[in-house]
Amino acid sequence: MGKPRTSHLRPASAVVAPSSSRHSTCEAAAAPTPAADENFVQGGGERLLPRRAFLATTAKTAAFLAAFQVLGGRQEARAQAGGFDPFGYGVASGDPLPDRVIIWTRVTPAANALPGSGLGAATRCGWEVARDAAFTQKVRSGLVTTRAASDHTVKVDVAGLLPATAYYYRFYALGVYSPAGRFLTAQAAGTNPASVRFATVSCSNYEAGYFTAYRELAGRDDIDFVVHLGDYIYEYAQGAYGPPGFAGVARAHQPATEILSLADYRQRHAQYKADPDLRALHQRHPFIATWDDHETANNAWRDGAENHTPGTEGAWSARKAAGIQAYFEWMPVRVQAATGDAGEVRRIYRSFRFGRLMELNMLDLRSYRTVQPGASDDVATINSSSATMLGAAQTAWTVGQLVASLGVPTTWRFFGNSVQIAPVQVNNALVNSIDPNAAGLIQGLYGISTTDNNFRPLNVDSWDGYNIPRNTVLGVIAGAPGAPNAGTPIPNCVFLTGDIHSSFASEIPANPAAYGAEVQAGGTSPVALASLGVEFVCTSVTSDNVNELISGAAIGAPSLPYVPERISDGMGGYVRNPATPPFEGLITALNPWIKDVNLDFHGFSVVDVTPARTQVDHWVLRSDANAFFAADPRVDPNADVVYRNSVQTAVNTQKITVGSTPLGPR
Amino acid sequence: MKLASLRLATAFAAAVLSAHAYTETWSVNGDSAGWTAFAVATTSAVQQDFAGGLELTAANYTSYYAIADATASGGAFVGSYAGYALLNFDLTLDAAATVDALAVRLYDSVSGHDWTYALSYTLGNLLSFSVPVDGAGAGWTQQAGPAEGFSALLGAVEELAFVFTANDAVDVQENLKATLDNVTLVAIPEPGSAAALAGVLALAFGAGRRRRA
Repeated sequence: MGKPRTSHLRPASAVVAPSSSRHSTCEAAAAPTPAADENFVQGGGERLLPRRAFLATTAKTAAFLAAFQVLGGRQEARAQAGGFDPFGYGVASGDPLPDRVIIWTRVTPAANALPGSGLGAATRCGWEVARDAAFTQKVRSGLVTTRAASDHTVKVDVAGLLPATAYYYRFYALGVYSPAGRFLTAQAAGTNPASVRFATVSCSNYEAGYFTAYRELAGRDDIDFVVHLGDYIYEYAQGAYGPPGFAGVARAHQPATEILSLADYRQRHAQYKADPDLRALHQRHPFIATWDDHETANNAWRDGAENHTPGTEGAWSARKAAGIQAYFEWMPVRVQAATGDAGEVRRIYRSFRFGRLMELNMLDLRSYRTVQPGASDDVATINSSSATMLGAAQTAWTVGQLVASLGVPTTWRFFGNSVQIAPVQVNNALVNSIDPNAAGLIQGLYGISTTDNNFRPLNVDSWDGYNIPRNTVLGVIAGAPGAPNAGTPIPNCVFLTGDIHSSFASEIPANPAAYGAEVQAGGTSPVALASLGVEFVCTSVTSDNVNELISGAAIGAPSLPYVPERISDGMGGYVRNPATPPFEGLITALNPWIKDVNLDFHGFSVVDVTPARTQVDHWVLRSDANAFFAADPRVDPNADVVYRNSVQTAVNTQKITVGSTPLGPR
Repeated sequence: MKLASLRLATAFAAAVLSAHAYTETWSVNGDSAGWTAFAVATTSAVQQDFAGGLELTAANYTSYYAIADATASGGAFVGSYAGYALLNFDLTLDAAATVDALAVRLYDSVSGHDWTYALSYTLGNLLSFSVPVDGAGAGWTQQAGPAEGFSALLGAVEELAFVFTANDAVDVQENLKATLDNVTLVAIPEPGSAAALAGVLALAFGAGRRRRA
């Protein structure tokens, strides 16, 4: 522990960007106005929050940020003159292909034309894409008309670009330019990239703290794009989700109520987009995003959600349609052809290819799935053959993608997979035999009966609750009898996952019950392959994990105080929350395919893909390491982001090794 | 007899074409209703009626658009272009203007289709352009939109724009004065109409030959 920060990511010369100051904003839906003070921003309460330096590494980025400053300065002057900022929600790019990229902004055409208001005239907005930050080498430009019908969001699918090339983009409306953003196109189909490097993030609850992880990624020059694995927004009312005595204190959700209507979802998206750290990240890197449940409501499925009450909150279909419409308006996501499958409002699942090195299939695990099992011991539903996770059309598409990848030179097959696919099981008898003290915590946290001594999944909202649909996908990967590729397993499948606010690195057992034995027997026949692939779960940007959940209420002991994120060793390092390692030990003991788990950090992962291996570095938030009792880094505006560890899978092994050497410069 | 025949043939031909063509011609008392301007500029653009054409002026621009809107006269250029073959127009660029690129642009906000056709020009001269707007899309470049063909756009054109661009940096100090006139959509002759027209012409020629014979 106490790993030093890797110096290659932290240059000596820092460039300060104008929009990196933190707004402790409570006027979420209001178009954000520029900070008046260069160095401090007035917080929501009495606090003054120190401005956070925004770091860049290469001269290229420095030049980009310098240009950005010029434009930002101009924009601020005009915005102040007009009383509002036409581009206060920033700019974003996404879904990079070799020849096209989505660029996005939201135009605020009048002071009262706030997100979700339905107000504001149709407004023309120009856009341009150039090879240089000064926009002297423009390659594409155009003009779009945006209206209240799309909440005045602007989404352009810029075409005719060169592969593996950096571009700059900006918008123009109402007499001002937007800040300039930057993106990189994907490698051309037939090429052999030496590497692809990207970040994975998930679960960014605004109320749970600052988006320090996003800010850090905005300063990283070595990544090509950001994969968001879902829970980009949260639907809850102010203070409705978070540790007792904490939620909503630092910064409160807007609107104040749980979001239900289209106007509500638009306002909530706008609040997140107004966050300076998220804005900086969108501006700096393209996103490849899919949703999980909180973009509509907790534990959503095709026809409902745990956090939806039809009697008082209206029809689920209307709420789902509202959430998904707002998502497509506010996210730089490309529209896909509809399939007409049951539950589909808009199709989001889609595929990306980066030369011959990797394919990335982004899945939708919420629109089409049947209802979750009622509990971990609802064996009938868990094993129901009528259950679906992907729906018929997406299942066929997924199988088709896998099988087709055998016919195209492809080293790695990645899946953007919002919920965990590797099994995570517990067994009370074993738990008690290993650590009787931890048993009560696990049982309380996950609602497993203390008298149930069978193996039970910890989370039936994940693929663990959908056994037959999971077997369909894994069967194709294994080349099982009955699969279109029977007898030909598909190697190097990597699932990238979010959802559970903690990091996992798992092999994917063909037969969990015999996993250890299979390994010992060296199970090498294709169908009995011991591990079918690997799964890398990134932790949450801010959302609570087991560390915070051990605050008492969740385990039936409300009097237990909230445990801060971590306790420093007072010497620049830190020690873990002492309550969580026992959990982690139990999980790896009971699930031998899980090679690394951490239940009490927040941050992001960086995935580096080469023909020889895929490595994932975990970067986590840390408060002042020199204080004995550090603050929760999620609400510490001065929090650092530090390297924790690495996990790796070598090509054609479907196995994981854990390491402590971070990725170097590219 | 000969005169009457020819007059009839000409009238028939005009009727066939006018059913599938639209022309916007500005005169001294011209009306710019249905046309708007948009300038990516630090000063606002000006659009004026002008004797003999639609005069467009702008200062400090990087890109300038003269746009046919879905209202009044410009509305004739909004909608489906199915059945049209050419977009003709006349343009005069003031010799004082600095323009690096000149283009015609078709756009559909519903699909996001955005295509431009680059034009070559000479300052100061009156230029008559003829741009193909058939489904082949020859010479057109996609700026944005889904990866579909040009023909997908032609079914629902929302904007026709004439675009002037200066490839300068942020603080360009440019001035533009251009005059646009005689914007015309020319139809693809339908097989039936073309046959009828050919018949009438054949009749006229035939009559002439007979008279000479």
